Amino acid sequence: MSKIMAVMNRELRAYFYSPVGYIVIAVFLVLGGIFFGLMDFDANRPAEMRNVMFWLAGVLVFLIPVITMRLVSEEMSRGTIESLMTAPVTDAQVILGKFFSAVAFFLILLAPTLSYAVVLAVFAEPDWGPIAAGYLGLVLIGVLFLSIGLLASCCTRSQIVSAFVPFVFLGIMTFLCRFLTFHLDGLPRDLLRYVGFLTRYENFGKGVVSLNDVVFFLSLTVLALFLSVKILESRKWRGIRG
Amino acid sequence: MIEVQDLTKYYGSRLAVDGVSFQVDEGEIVGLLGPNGAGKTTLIRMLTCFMPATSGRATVNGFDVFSQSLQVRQSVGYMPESVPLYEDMRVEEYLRFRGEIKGLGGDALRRRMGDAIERCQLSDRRRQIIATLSKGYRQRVGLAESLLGDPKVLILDEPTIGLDPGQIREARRLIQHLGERHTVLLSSHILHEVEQVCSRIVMISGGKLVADGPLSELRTGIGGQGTTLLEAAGDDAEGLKRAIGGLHGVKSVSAEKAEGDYTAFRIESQGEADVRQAVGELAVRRGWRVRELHTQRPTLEEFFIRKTAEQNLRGRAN
Ligand SMILES: Nc1ncnc2c1ncn2[C@@H]1O[C@H](COP(=O)(O)OP(=O)(O)O)[C@@H](O)[C@H]1O
Ligand SMILES: [Mg+2]
Repeated sequence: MSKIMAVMNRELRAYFYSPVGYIVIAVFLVLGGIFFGLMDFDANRPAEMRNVMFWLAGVLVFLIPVITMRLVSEEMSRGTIESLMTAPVTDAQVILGKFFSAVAFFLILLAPTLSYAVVLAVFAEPDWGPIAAGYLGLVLIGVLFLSIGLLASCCTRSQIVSAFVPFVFLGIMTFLCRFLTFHLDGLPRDLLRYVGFLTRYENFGKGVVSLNDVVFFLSLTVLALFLSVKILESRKWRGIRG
Repeated sequence: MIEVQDLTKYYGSRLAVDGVSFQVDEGEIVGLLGPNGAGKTTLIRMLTCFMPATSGRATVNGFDVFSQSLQVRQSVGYMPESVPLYEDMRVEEYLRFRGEIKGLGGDALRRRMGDAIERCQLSDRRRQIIATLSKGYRQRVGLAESLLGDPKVLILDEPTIGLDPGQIREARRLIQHLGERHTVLLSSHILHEVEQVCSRIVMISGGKLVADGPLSELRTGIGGQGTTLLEAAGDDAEGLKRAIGGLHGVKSVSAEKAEGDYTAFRIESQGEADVRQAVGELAVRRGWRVRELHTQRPTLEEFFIRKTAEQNLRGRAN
């Protein structure tokens, strides 16, 4: 456990060694603020954060790959993977440490958005149930995105590839799936509704927290983490030029 | 401490390490010597559990590198060839992180860090960002890192590569010190460096083991024969040549005119036989005036170069 903490600690600091961490935070807050201002902070509408959360999820599709791209790829391209993997840590400890650091960074990213809720509370009587549910959904979808980004980062030493691939994948799973549900019917539509990330996430935005959706996000997250550990293990068999 | 049995590694279809066996005993400083591309790094990476062997076995500190990888990694301090470090961290920060993932914490961690920093003379660079360190200091950080766990076994891959002569001398001194507390296996492609610090050499070339033994033994044992040169002036060169050829330990003699009225004899002797005294006495008894008499033995350098060349030829033939 303390080894996971050690890895997590180092990784979390690493976000702030380079400007990337600050840029991600800035972009997220600016976009979030814009959406909030445009859509939710409107005296003529009921006080809720449904729209802003919808758009924030969209922002995560391209921001999260930027958060996760360096996690393992950078170790491979710089050769530090060699000292990391020859230290007495297990592959699972490395993956979990890195994953938790990304989650912590993500929570730091989200924290300031609580101020939107505070603003709502000052000027109106928001309905807290849906807001809390929305946050839960946002955290769950974000954590899933992070685990998918981490998985991609384990597959390549190129940070560009490990940002681009999950970006495309998440874009398909989130927006394309949702788009297609409007144009299909029957079984394909039900299937896409079932696997589409956004469809699931929207339930939270409506204030509906179903165990089904929670389990969906969490189990996919665990699956991505499991695959990450397996890929890290298998890389040793192929050998990495350090 | 380290036992390697028939270790083999293929990269795809390319054979990088070919059935190597050797052993390192407690307290030894052993040099893994071989030209570039010999397979030193590959061998070391198998010993440090970075990659598995294709076949063969290895144990470090009694633990199997394959089935007890975590214990091996716990008891080995390893400095990889390129000394990969997290560039953005400060020296102290980096060492703390590395100590933590080696399972250290609290007082023990502080003590070990202090000890490693002191032994590697990094006290004045504690707060410096690693990216701004010179090559020599980076090497020291790598070394300090490998010492953190107070490991029984230290494995250093080309610890002096890329250093200037002054730094090399310092690194050498440091490594010699390390030998007092740890069993050390270090690799190098420079014979001279290995000769300076190691008591024993394991030489590989083209992935194969070509020599293994204490330095002194290798020095005398390698050539198998020496060449003795005699330059003298006198009568009946043919007679003297025949007489020398009859001496015990002499394999062959050739004679050739040198400048003046001197004759130069080249005497090949067998094994470690020292024929100088017998040759000298014989020449004087026959009334020759001796002006030079000495024996040349092939140096380790020549041996190293010859072995390397042989392996290259074989490699090309395959
Ligand atoms: N990851 C790898 N993939 C393919 N070939 C490799 C890899 N690493 C090393 N080799 C090859 O294996 C041989 C031995 O390399 P190496 O162990 O690095 O030698 P040394 O450390 O003695 O210079 C070389 O021919 C090298 O090109
Ligand atoms: Mg090498």
